[in-house]
Amino acid sequence: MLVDVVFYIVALLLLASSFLVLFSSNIYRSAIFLAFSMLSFASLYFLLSAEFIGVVQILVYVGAVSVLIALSVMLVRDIEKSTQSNKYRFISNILISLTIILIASFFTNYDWNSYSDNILNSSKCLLSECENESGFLISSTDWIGKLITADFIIAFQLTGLILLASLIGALALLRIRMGNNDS
Amino acid sequence: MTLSNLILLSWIIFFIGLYGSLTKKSAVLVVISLELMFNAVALNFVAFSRFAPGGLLGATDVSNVLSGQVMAIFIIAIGAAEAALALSIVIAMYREKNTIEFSETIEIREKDVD
Repeated sequence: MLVDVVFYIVALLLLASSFLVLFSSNIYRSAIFLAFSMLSFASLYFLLSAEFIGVVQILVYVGAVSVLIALSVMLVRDIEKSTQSNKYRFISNILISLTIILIASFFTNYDWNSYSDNILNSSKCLLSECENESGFLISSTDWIGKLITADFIIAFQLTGLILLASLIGALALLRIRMGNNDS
Repeated sequence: MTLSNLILLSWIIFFIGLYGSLTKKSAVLVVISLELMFNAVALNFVAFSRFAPGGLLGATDVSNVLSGQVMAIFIIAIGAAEAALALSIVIAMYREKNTIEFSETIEIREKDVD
């Protein structure tokens, strides 16, 4: 019950801050609201008892990406007219409303009852309350580490490669421009 | 907090991000909208790993259950790399063309190619 109340509060905060990301007047405020919505995502992960994902979300998105976006907004200094829409607005309105109707029809027709037993059993207990239930709560951080280094090792290595490539790419992009300015 | 609530929530956030990335002029806002879409998908993965049959509670096979959370970690890492690269492209674009609007730079680039 308490979990439901907290979930609805967090979901409302998440929806409101995500709307404000797009429709606030100033792009700097959009970056701040992005940090706030990432924090709401992290609290949803905590509610879903995925503690490690929540901590990583706070570290990476609230700590790093929001600061990166805010700093690049400051560097660009094109704040006033940057919240305008482009000329494809009408077409994308039509496209998005068509897609929403399509997915909404799927969403209302889908048989959610096949999941409901499991949901009813598992939504009663959160974190430490579940010890007396029939299921057992596994320590997710422990097993995520074991899974990443065993089953997902190739994806893990490729992620490291992608991070390195994006670092080199970002440095090369900015450095080439600086070289052109000097010469 | 049921599975359908979470999927509805992440779906709404995904479409907010899709709308922003399609309609906004500013490149920084497009990057922000892409981040929203990444996170909506990651939320979907974590929700399924919690609520799917044989979910996190009453787990029989751990590697099946926690795959969703591992995917969420990969999504977060790729999203961070994408943000760094995209913002460096934005700054390079601002230095070169003195604007961060996508439509204008696309027009300039077409003129250069011709």
